[in-house]
Amino acid sequence: MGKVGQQGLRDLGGVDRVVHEPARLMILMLLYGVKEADALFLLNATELTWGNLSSHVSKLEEAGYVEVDKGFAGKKPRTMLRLTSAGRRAVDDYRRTMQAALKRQRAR
Amino acid sequence: MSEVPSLREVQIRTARLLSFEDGLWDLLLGATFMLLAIYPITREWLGPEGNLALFLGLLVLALGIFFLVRQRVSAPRLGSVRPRWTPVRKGVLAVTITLVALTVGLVIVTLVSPVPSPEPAPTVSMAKARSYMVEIVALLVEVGMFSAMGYLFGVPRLFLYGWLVGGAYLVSVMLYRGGPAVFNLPLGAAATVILLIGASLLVRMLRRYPVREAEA
Repeated sequence: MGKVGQQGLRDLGGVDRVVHEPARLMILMLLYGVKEADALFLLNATELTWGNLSSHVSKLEEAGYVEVDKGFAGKKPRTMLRLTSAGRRAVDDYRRTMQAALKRQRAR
Repeated sequence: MSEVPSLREVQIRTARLLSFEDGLWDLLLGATFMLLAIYPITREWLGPEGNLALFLGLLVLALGIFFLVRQRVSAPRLGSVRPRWTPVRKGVLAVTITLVALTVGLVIVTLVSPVPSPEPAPTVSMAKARSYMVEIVALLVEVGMFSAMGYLFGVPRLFLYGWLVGGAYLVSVMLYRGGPAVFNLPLGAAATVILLIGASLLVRMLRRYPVREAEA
Protein backbone atom coordinates (compact mmCIF):
# COMPACT_ATOMS: atom_id res chain seq x y z
CA MET A 1 0.00 0.00 0.00
CA GLY A 2 1.45 3.40 -0.95
CA LYS A 3 1.74 6.53 1.22
CA VAL A 4 -1.40 8.03 -0.29
CA GLY A 5 -3.48 4.96 0.63
CA GLN A 6 -2.05 4.84 4.16
CA GLN A 7 -2.95 8.52 4.72
CA GLY A 8 -6.55 7.71 3.63
CA LEU A 9 -6.76 4.91 6.19
CA ARG A 10 -5.30 7.08 8.97
CA ASP A 11 -7.96 9.73 8.26
CA LEU A 12 -10.67 7.11 8.73
CA GLY A 13 -9.36 6.40 12.23
CA GLY A 14 -10.23 9.95 13.22
CA VAL A 15 -13.92 9.92 12.29
CA ASP A 16 -16.44 10.83 14.98
CA ARG A 17 -17.71 7.49 16.33
CA VAL A 18 -20.97 9.02 17.53
CA VAL A 19 -21.72 9.97 13.92
CA HIS A 20 -20.16 6.87 12.30
CA GLU A 21 -22.70 4.36 13.71
CA PRO A 22 -25.09 3.59 10.77
CA ALA A 23 -28.39 4.14 12.61
CA ARG A 24 -27.22 7.44 14.13
CA LEU A 25 -25.79 8.51 10.78
CA MET A 26 -29.20 7.89 9.19
CA ILE A 27 -30.91 9.99 11.87
CA LEU A 28 -28.40 12.81 11.45
CA MET A 29 -28.65 12.75 7.66
CA LEU A 30 -32.45 12.84 7.78
CA LEU A 31 -32.37 15.78 10.19
CA TYR A 32 -29.68 17.54 8.13
CA GLY A 33 -32.11 18.13 5.24
CA VAL A 34 -34.97 19.54 7.32
CA LYS A 35 -35.55 22.20 9.97
CA GLU A 36 -37.11 19.69 12.37
CA ALA A 37 -38.84 16.33 12.22
CA ASP A 38 -41.00 14.32 14.60
CA ALA A 39 -39.91 10.97 16.01
CA LEU A 40 -42.59 9.16 14.02
CA PHE A 41 -41.11 10.37 10.74
CA LEU A 42 -37.62 9.22 11.81
CA LEU A 43 -39.06 5.87 12.86
CA ASN A 44 -40.64 5.30 9.44
CA ALA A 45 -37.69 6.66 7.46
CA THR A 46 -35.03 4.66 9.36
CA GLU A 47 -37.18 1.54 9.97
CA LEU A 48 -35.70 1.26 13.49
CA THR A 49 -37.78 0.15 16.49
CA TRP A 50 -38.95 2.74 19.06
CA GLY A 51 -36.42 1.35 21.56
CA ASN A 52 -33.51 1.57 19.14
CA LEU A 53 -34.49 5.02 17.93
CA SER A 54 -34.85 6.28 21.49
CA SER A 55 -31.45 4.89 22.46
CA HIS A 56 -29.66 6.44 19.47
CA VAL A 57 -31.42 9.78 19.90
CA SER A 58 -30.32 9.82 23.56
CA LYS A 59 -26.69 9.30 22.51
CA LEU A 60 -26.95 12.09 19.93
CA GLU A 61 -28.56 14.36 22.52
CA GLU A 62 -25.75 13.60 25.01
CA ALA A 63 -23.19 14.50 22.35
CA GLY A 64 -25.01 17.81 21.79
CA TYR A 65 -25.81 17.00 18.17
CA VAL A 66 -29.59 16.86 18.47
CA GLU A 67 -32.21 18.88 20.36
CA VAL A 68 -35.33 17.09 21.53
CA ASP A 69 -38.63 18.87 22.24
CA LYS A 70 -41.37 16.85 23.87
CA GLY A 71 -44.76 18.46 23.34
CA PHE A 72 -48.28 17.76 22.21
CA ALA A 73 -50.07 17.80 18.85
CA GLY A 74 -53.64 18.26 20.01
CA LYS A 75 -53.99 15.70 22.80
CA LYS A 76 -51.32 13.33 21.50
CA PRO A 77 -47.71 13.52 22.65
CA ARG A 78 -45.25 14.49 19.93
CA THR A 79 -41.47 14.52 20.05
CA MET A 80 -39.76 16.96 17.69
CA LEU A 81 -36.07 16.65 16.89
CA ARG A 82 -33.69 19.09 15.26
CA LEU A 83 -29.99 19.20 14.51
CA THR A 84 -27.91 21.63 16.58
CA SER A 85 -25.18 23.69 14.93
CA ALA A 86 -22.63 21.30 16.52
CA GLY A 87 -24.54 18.39 14.95
CA ARG A 88 -24.52 20.07 11.57
CA ARG A 89 -20.76 20.68 11.86
CA ALA A 90 -20.21 17.05 12.91
CA VAL A 91 -22.07 15.77 9.83
CA ASP A 92 -20.11 18.14 7.58
CA ASP A 93 -16.79 17.02 9.12
CA TYR A 94 -17.74 13.37 8.82
CA ARG A 95 -18.72 13.73 5.16
CA ARG A 96 -15.50 15.64 4.40
CA THR A 97 -13.30 13.05 6.13
CA MET A 98 -15.01 10.08 4.48
CA GLN A 99 -15.01 11.69 1.05
CA ALA A 100 -11.33 12.61 1.31
CA ALA A 101 -10.39 9.13 2.51
CA LEU A 102 -12.36 7.42 -0.25
CA LYS A 103 -10.92 9.79 -2.84
CA ARG A 104 -7.37 8.94 -1.74
CA GLN A 105 -8.16 5.23 -1.79
CA ARG A 106 -9.51 5.53 -5.34
CA ALA A 107 -6.42 7.51 -6.43
CA ARG A 108 -4.13 4.67 -5.28
CA MET B 1 -19.99 1.23 4.55
CA SER B 2 -18.64 1.44 1.02
CA GLU B 3 -19.81 4.95 0.14
CA VAL B 4 -20.48 8.27 1.86
CA PRO B 5 -24.25 8.70 2.24
CA SER B 6 -25.62 11.10 -0.35
CA LEU B 7 -27.61 14.05 0.97
CA ARG B 8 -29.64 14.02 -2.23
CA GLU B 9 -30.70 10.40 -1.63
CA VAL B 10 -31.79 11.24 1.91
CA GLN B 11 -33.75 14.28 0.69
CA ILE B 12 -35.41 12.18 -2.03
CA ARG B 13 -36.35 9.55 0.55
CA THR B 14 -37.82 12.27 2.81
CA ALA B 15 -39.83 13.84 -0.02
CA ARG B 16 -41.07 10.47 -1.25
CA LEU B 17 -42.18 9.36 2.20
CA LEU B 18 -43.95 12.62 2.97
CA SER B 19 -45.42 13.51 -0.43
CA PHE B 20 -45.95 10.36 -2.48
CA GLU B 21 -46.30 7.43 -0.06
CA ASP B 22 -49.96 8.04 0.84
CA GLY B 23 -51.32 8.38 -2.72
CA LEU B 24 -53.10 11.67 -1.89
CA TRP B 25 -51.10 13.61 -4.44
CA ASP B 26 -52.16 11.08 -7.10
CA LEU B 27 -55.80 11.34 -6.01
CA LEU B 28 -55.66 15.14 -6.25
CA LEU B 29 -54.04 14.97 -9.69
CA GLY B 30 -56.55 12.36 -10.91
CA ALA B 31 -59.49 14.39 -9.57
CA THR B 32 -58.22 17.53 -11.34
CA PHE B 33 -57.96 15.71 -14.68
CA MET B 34 -61.39 14.12 -14.15
CA LEU B 35 -62.80 17.65 -13.67
CA LEU B 36 -61.12 18.67 -16.92
CA ALA B 37 -62.61 15.57 -18.62
CA ILE B 38 -66.17 16.56 -17.70
CA TYR B 39 -65.78 20.30 -18.32
CA PRO B 40 -67.11 20.19 -21.93
CA ILE B 41 -70.41 18.85 -20.58
CA THR B 42 -70.67 21.24 -17.62
CA ARG B 43 -69.83 24.16 -19.91
CA GLU B 44 -72.81 23.23 -22.08
CA TRP B 45 -75.03 23.35 -19.00
CA LEU B 46 -73.56 26.31 -17.10
CA GLY B 47 -71.83 28.50 -19.70
CA PRO B 48 -68.14 29.54 -19.53
CA GLU B 49 -68.37 31.70 -16.36
CA GLY B 50 -70.55 29.27 -14.39
CA ASN B 51 -68.33 26.40 -15.49
CA LEU B 52 -65.20 28.23 -14.35
CA ALA B 53 -66.81 28.94 -10.97
CA LEU B 54 -67.78 25.25 -10.64
CA PHE B 55 -64.29 24.09 -11.69
CA LEU B 56 -62.49 26.42 -9.26
CA GLY B 57 -64.98 25.60 -6.47
CA LEU B 58 -64.48 21.86 -6.90
CA LEU B 59 -60.70 22.34 -7.15
CA VAL B 60 -60.67 24.30 -3.87
CA LEU B 61 -62.85 21.59 -2.29
CA ALA B 62 -60.46 18.85 -3.52
CA LEU B 63 -57.48 20.81 -2.15
CA GLY B 64 -59.26 21.25 1.20
CA ILE B 65 -59.95 17.52 1.43
CA PHE B 66 -56.34 16.81 0.40
CA PHE B 67 -54.88 18.92 3.22
CA LEU B 68 -57.43 17.68 5.78
CA VAL B 69 -56.76 13.99 5.01
CA ARG B 70 -53.02 14.59 4.97
CA GLN B 71 -53.20 16.25 8.38
CA ARG B 72 -55.68 13.88 10.01
CA VAL B 73 -54.84 10.54 8.33
CA SER B 74 -51.31 10.63 6.87
CA ALA B 75 -49.41 12.73 9.44
CA PRO B 76 -50.33 10.50 12.43
CA ARG B 77 -49.06 7.51 10.43
CA LEU B 78 -46.08 8.83 8.47
CA GLY B 79 -44.90 11.63 10.78
CA SER B 80 -44.18 15.20 9.81
CA VAL B 81 -41.26 17.52 9.16
CA ARG B 82 -40.71 21.25 8.89
CA PRO B 83 -38.63 21.93 5.77
CA ARG B 84 -35.40 23.85 5.84
CA TRP B 85 -35.49 26.72 3.36
CA THR B 86 -32.15 26.59 1.57
CA PRO B 87 -31.61 28.93 -1.44
CA VAL B 88 -31.93 25.94 -3.82
CA ARG B 89 -35.23 24.87 -2.24
CA LYS B 90 -36.54 28.45 -2.48
CA GLY B 91 -35.61 28.46 -6.18
CA VAL B 92 -37.37 25.12 -6.78
CA LEU B 93 -40.46 26.45 -4.99
CA ALA B 94 -40.45 29.65 -7.09
CA VAL B 95 -40.21 27.63 -10.33
CA THR B 96 -42.97 25.27 -9.14
CA ILE B 97 -45.31 28.15 -8.25
CA THR B 98 -44.63 29.75 -11.65
CA LEU B 99 -45.38 26.48 -13.48
CA VAL B 100 -48.56 25.87 -11.47
CA ALA B 101 -49.71 29.47 -12.07
CA LEU B 102 -49.07 29.07 -15.82
CA THR B 103 -50.97 25.76 -15.91
CA VAL B 104 -53.93 27.16 -13.95
CA GLY B 105 -53.92 30.23 -16.21
CA LEU B 106 -54.04 28.04 -19.33
CA VAL B 107 -56.86 25.95 -17.84
CA ILE B 108 -58.85 29.09 -17.02
CA VAL B 109 -58.33 30.46 -20.54
CA THR B 110 -59.54 27.11 -21.91
CA LEU B 111 -62.57 27.06 -19.64
CA VAL B 112 -63.77 30.59 -20.47
CA SER B 113 -62.90 30.55 -24.18
CA PRO B 114 -65.88 30.66 -26.59
CA VAL B 115 -67.43 27.31 -27.52
CA PRO B 116 -66.17 26.38 -31.03
CA SER B 117 -68.78 26.09 -33.76
CA PRO B 118 -69.49 22.46 -34.65
CA GLU B 119 -67.63 21.27 -37.72
CA PRO B 120 -66.68 17.80 -38.94
CA ALA B 121 -63.85 16.22 -36.94
CA PRO B 122 -60.67 15.80 -39.00
CA THR B 123 -59.68 12.35 -40.16
CA VAL B 124 -56.84 10.84 -38.11
CA SER B 125 -53.81 10.10 -40.27
CA MET B 126 -50.06 10.61 -40.26
CA ALA B 127 -50.43 12.98 -43.20
CA LYS B 128 -52.18 15.37 -40.80
CA ALA B 129 -49.40 15.17 -38.21
CA ARG B 130 -48.34 18.77 -38.91
CA SER B 131 -51.73 20.10 -37.87
CA TYR B 132 -51.22 18.57 -34.40
CA MET B 133 -47.82 20.16 -33.85
CA VAL B 134 -49.04 22.27 -30.89
CA GLU B 135 -50.57 19.20 -29.23
CA ILE B 136 -47.43 17.13 -29.86
CA VAL B 137 -45.35 19.88 -28.25
CA ALA B 138 -47.84 19.93 -25.33
CA LEU B 139 -47.46 16.15 -25.00
CA LEU B 140 -43.67 16.46 -24.88
CA VAL B 141 -43.92 19.27 -22.31
CA GLU B 142 -46.22 17.10 -20.11
CA VAL B 143 -43.89 14.10 -20.46
CA GLY B 144 -40.88 16.31 -19.73
CA MET B 145 -42.45 17.95 -16.66
CA PHE B 146 -43.68 14.70 -15.11
CA SER B 147 -40.45 12.87 -15.99
CA ALA B 148 -38.38 15.64 -14.37
CA MET B 149 -40.51 15.38 -11.23
CA GLY B 150 -40.27 11.58 -11.30
CA TYR B 151 -36.49 11.77 -11.58
CA LEU B 152 -36.09 14.49 -8.94
CA PHE B 153 -38.24 12.70 -6.36
CA GLY B 154 -37.37 9.13 -7.39
CA VAL B 155 -41.01 8.27 -8.17
CA PRO B 156 -41.14 6.12 -11.36
CA ARG B 157 -44.95 6.24 -11.75
CA LEU B 158 -44.72 9.95 -12.65
CA PHE B 159 -43.10 8.95 -15.98
CA LEU B 160 -46.29 6.97 -16.72
CA TYR B 161 -48.47 9.94 -15.70
CA GLY B 162 -46.65 12.19 -18.17
CA TRP B 163 -47.37 9.86 -21.08
CA LEU B 164 -50.93 9.21 -19.88
CA VAL B 165 -51.89 12.86 -19.55
CA GLY B 166 -49.95 14.11 -22.58
CA GLY B 167 -51.21 11.21 -24.73
CA ALA B 168 -54.79 11.71 -23.54
CA TYR B 169 -54.63 15.38 -24.49
CA LEU B 170 -53.33 14.59 -27.99
CA VAL B 171 -55.89 11.82 -28.60
CA SER B 172 -58.76 13.95 -27.26
CA VAL B 173 -57.85 16.80 -29.64
CA MET B 174 -57.77 14.29 -32.53
CA LEU B 175 -61.15 12.87 -31.54
CA TYR B 176 -63.12 15.91 -30.45
CA ARG B 177 -61.69 19.03 -32.19
CA GLY B 178 -64.63 20.97 -33.51
CA GLY B 179 -67.07 18.25 -32.46
CA PRO B 180 -70.01 18.42 -30.04
CA ALA B 181 -69.38 18.77 -26.30
CA VAL B 182 -69.02 15.29 -24.84
CA PHE B 183 -67.23 13.62 -21.95
CA ASN B 184 -63.49 13.67 -22.75
CA LEU B 185 -62.96 9.90 -22.76
CA PRO B 186 -59.13 9.76 -23.15
CA LEU B 187 -58.58 12.31 -20.35
CA GLY B 188 -61.26 10.55 -18.24
CA ALA B 189 -59.49 7.22 -18.76
CA ALA B 190 -56.11 8.72 -17.82
CA ALA B 191 -57.69 10.32 -14.72
CA THR B 192 -59.29 6.99 -13.76
CA VAL B 193 -55.92 5.18 -13.96
CA ILE B 194 -54.29 7.88 -11.80
CA LEU B 195 -57.19 7.79 -9.31
CA LEU B 196 -56.98 3.98 -9.06
CA ILE B 197 -53.22 4.11 -8.46
CA GLY B 198 -53.76 6.82 -5.81
CA ALA B 199 -56.51 4.84 -4.08
CA SER B 200 -54.40 1.66 -4.00
CA LEU B 201 -51.45 3.64 -2.56
CA LEU B 202 -53.72 5.15 0.11
CA VAL B 203 -54.98 1.67 1.10
CA ARG B 204 -51.40 0.37 1.16
CA MET B 205 -50.31 3.29 3.37
CA LEU B 206 -53.21 2.68 5.80
CA ARG B 207 -52.21 -0.98 6.08
CA ARG B 208 -48.45 -0.47 6.22
CA TYR B 209 -48.41 2.44 8.68
CA PRO B 210 -50.91 1.96 11.52
CA VAL B 211 -51.45 4.79 14.00
CA ARG B 212 -48.98 4.22 16.84
CA GLU B 213 -50.13 4.75 20.41
CA ALA B 214 -46.76 4.82 22.19
CA GLU B 215 -43.86 7.12 21.40
CA ALA B 216 -40.18 6.95 22.27
